[in-house]
Amino acid sequence: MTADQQQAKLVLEGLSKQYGNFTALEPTSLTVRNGEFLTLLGPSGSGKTTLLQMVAGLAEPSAGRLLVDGADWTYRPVNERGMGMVFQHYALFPHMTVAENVAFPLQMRKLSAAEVRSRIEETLRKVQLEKFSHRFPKELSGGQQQRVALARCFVFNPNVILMDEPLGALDKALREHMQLEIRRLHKEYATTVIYVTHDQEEALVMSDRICVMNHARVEQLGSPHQIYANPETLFAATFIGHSNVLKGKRDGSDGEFARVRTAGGTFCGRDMSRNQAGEVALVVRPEHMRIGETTSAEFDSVRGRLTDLVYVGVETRLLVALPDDSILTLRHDAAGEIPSIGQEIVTHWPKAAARVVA
Amino acid sequence: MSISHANPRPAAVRLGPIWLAVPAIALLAVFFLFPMARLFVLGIQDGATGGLTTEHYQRLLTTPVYWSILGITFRIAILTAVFSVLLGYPLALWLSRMHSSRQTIMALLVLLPFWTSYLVKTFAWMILLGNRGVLNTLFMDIGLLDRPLRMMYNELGVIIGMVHAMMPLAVLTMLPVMNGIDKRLTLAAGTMGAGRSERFWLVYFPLSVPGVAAAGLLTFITSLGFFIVPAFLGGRGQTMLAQTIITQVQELVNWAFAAVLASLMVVAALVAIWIYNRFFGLSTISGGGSDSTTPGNGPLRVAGQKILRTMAILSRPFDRFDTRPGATERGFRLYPVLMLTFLIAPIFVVFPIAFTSASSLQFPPPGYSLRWFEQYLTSPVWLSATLRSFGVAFATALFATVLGGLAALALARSRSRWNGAIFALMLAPMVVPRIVIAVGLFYLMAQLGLVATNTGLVIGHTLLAIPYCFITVGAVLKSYDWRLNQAAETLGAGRLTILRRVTLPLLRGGVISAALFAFVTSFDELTVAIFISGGLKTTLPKQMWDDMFLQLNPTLAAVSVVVMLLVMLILLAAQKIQK
Ligand SMILES: Nc1ncnc2c1ncn2[C@@H]1O[C@H](COP(=O)(O)OP(=O)(O)O)[C@@H](O)[C@H]1O
Ligand SMILES: [Mg+2]
Repeated sequence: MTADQQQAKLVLEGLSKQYGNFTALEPTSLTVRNGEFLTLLGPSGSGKTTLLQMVAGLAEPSAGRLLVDGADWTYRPVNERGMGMVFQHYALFPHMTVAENVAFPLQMRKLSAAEVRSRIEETLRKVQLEKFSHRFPKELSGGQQQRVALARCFVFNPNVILMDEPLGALDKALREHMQLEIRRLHKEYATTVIYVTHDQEEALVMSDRICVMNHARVEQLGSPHQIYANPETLFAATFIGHSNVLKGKRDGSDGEFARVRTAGGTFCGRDMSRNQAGEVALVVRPEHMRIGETTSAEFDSVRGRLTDLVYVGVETRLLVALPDDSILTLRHDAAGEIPSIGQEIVTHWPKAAARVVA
Repeated sequence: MSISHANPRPAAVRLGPIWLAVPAIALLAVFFLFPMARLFVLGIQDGATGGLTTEHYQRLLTTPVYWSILGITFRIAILTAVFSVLLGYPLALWLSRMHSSRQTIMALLVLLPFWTSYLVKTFAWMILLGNRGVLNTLFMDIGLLDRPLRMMYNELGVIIGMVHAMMPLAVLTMLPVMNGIDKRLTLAAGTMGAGRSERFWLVYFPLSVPGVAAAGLLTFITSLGFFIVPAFLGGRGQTMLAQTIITQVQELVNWAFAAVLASLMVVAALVAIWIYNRFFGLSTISGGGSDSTTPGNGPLRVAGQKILRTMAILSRPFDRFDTRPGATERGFRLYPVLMLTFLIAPIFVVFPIAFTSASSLQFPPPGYSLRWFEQYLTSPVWLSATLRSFGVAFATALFATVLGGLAALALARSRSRWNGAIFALMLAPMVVPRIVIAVGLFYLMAQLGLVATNTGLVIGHTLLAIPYCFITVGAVLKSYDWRLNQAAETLGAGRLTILRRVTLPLLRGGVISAALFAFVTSFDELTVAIFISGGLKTTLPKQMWDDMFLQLNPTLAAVSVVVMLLVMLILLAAQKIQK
């Protein structure tokens, strides 16, 4: 048994889902490590919920296998899996009080009344809801309902917790607060979490690893830093953080770099694409681009015209149009003088910071 | 100088939206509330002196036969309500699990028997259940029975007929509540370790209880005032209160005693409503969803939870029959087919009879002919009854839609403290047993000389149809975005233009369905017609009722077919328009 298998909590082997002729999830293989916080990140309709529901046992896979701790759980009934799940709009039972909601999973496990009571008390204290135990869900605010949903899930100490956009209905400030709260609970209970979101910032803040999904497929799986620094696909590069994109054709290689011929010139970058597609893109993060000319062989540069200035608080962004009408976003360093609109701008970046993706 | 620049505040008093409800309120006050009050007073008034007396109620107390009639009425109404809800629940559940487009189509199979005239349904059961009826013939032919089984003129016949008549109402009342239950709640319960039994009894069922209770209430109240089914399918031992009231008025002309019985019926209905309102709130009935049902923490709730937990434990052994998600659907399919067959198949028995060549109701017919349709179309009595029914139904549709629609508009736009009372008044004609309304109306119209006039019929039918129009238009108004009016105003449209160009086009579907429902309500109406339409001014249902008493004949089947096809057509039209 390899080390990777040993720490594997969940293994998906070619798991896929069809609805009639429609493919909601292409065959997907993926390993979730014991105790990690894995986020499924992708736009709406990319198959995140579908994947989560098959892991939970709420949807039956069309093909493939699901292994949990090495055992085949593909067709195990949902109520025998013992996984916790937090739903998007919480799915709190409206006819039960907060305490009764939280007690439900414990009662299903036939715990003694005394134990149920002490576990509810402890868990409600952890989510700061001890004063609300006799209220009904509709008598609570959105944030409080969210915390009840978390309590109801963590209370029975499941060793896998699945969360489907649990913060989607909250406003930004509350969402940021709850992100930290969920991370804290994850550490405290030392469980494995699969978390679904379409918010890239949320994914970056919370995850040990991110699984980027698009068009019913996994685009890339890696740590937040890996995905940000080394995107493997154009989708990953543009969905997470901002990227400047120069589309073009592959044009041989230059030492360790791949060369891309674009309308604005031929540039070099590290090749991340997994296939040898001819149509590729060179992507560079704005923070790697500097204004000004350079002659160093370690840099590439391009010429364009400043079309707009956008002030966003911490910095000013320059929008630069290239001859082929594509737009680059540059950051303006605090020191330099802000150029005026219409002015010609030259920008350069280290070849080592550019990535070639398909 | 500067003052002349200021816009003077318009001096005219603007009528609040609440005034739109006035025409409907006026009609209901004069022809519904007033006669009901009159009826109540008749029961405590000395016929000769006009003073107060308890003599009529004493007569009730001292005559055991009335006690037994009361007992029978309650027994049949309760049995009907229980069976309708019990048998209808799985059917409603099955419908609620479908995608909405499929559900709309399948629900037609429940709407069809719902809108089919009670007379037609009863007539069909008479053909089926008689000693030489379809079922007995069939059972004896295949050797299941060697002597005909008595299924009619006894309690069995009445209960079969009543449950058949009431189950569609029960299903259609429960369905919206079930549709409103968040499907993810049972899924969520599953992830927390709940098996099939617990998911149903601890999560789904309690959430569906408001629908169950509303269905029970409506079927109970409607059964309480029923007379068509017991009159034809019951024996002497199944005489119900409504039949007794009819006898008291029409044969014995004992108004005071009829008033006593009618008052009793209203009290029973009101008590049932009070109990219901106490626990669930009335909004479930009018389709307002179960938002007012925060259960208290009383002993009743604890007891309820205990019962549900016991039910979950008791049904748990059956969980293992199907655990895979797909299996649920497969095991669940036979029941709805059976129930839908029970609801629809009996009605269709009138078709072959209508085309029979024989002059008896023999089944299967010895040969086929069109002679009974010919008979119908050449009979001046039937034709004039048909024409009158059409005319009255058209007028009713017009008046009820306008009055009920305006009242719905009034309540949607007004925040008056009278809203609750007006709401209750608009629904009242649906909740008070029809027989009581009809008797009260008869008393008043006899004094006004409106008996046996079309005007009298239209007034009676309009007040019966107002609740349906009020609910239907109210439902579309609920989803109407009033900001559109503000948008139109900012674009320069006046009030009338807004009504004509924005509001009405958007509400059109609801308004047309309201009119169609009102039309069918009137076209099918018998209770008021029995009293108000007399002599030559008879309507189609009244003519059928009279004929069914005289003798069963295939002409009735032919008429039934015509009525059914017409109602079906209207129903389909309403369905199409509502999309
Ligand atoms: N029960 C279903 N029947 C048919 N199509 C479905 C069903 N559930 C999901 N889909 C489709 O599958 C695709 C993926 O859905 P989902 O997994 O919910 O996406 P996500 O959660 O990433 O937004 C969507 O296009 C959706 O319309
Ligand atoms: Mg989703």
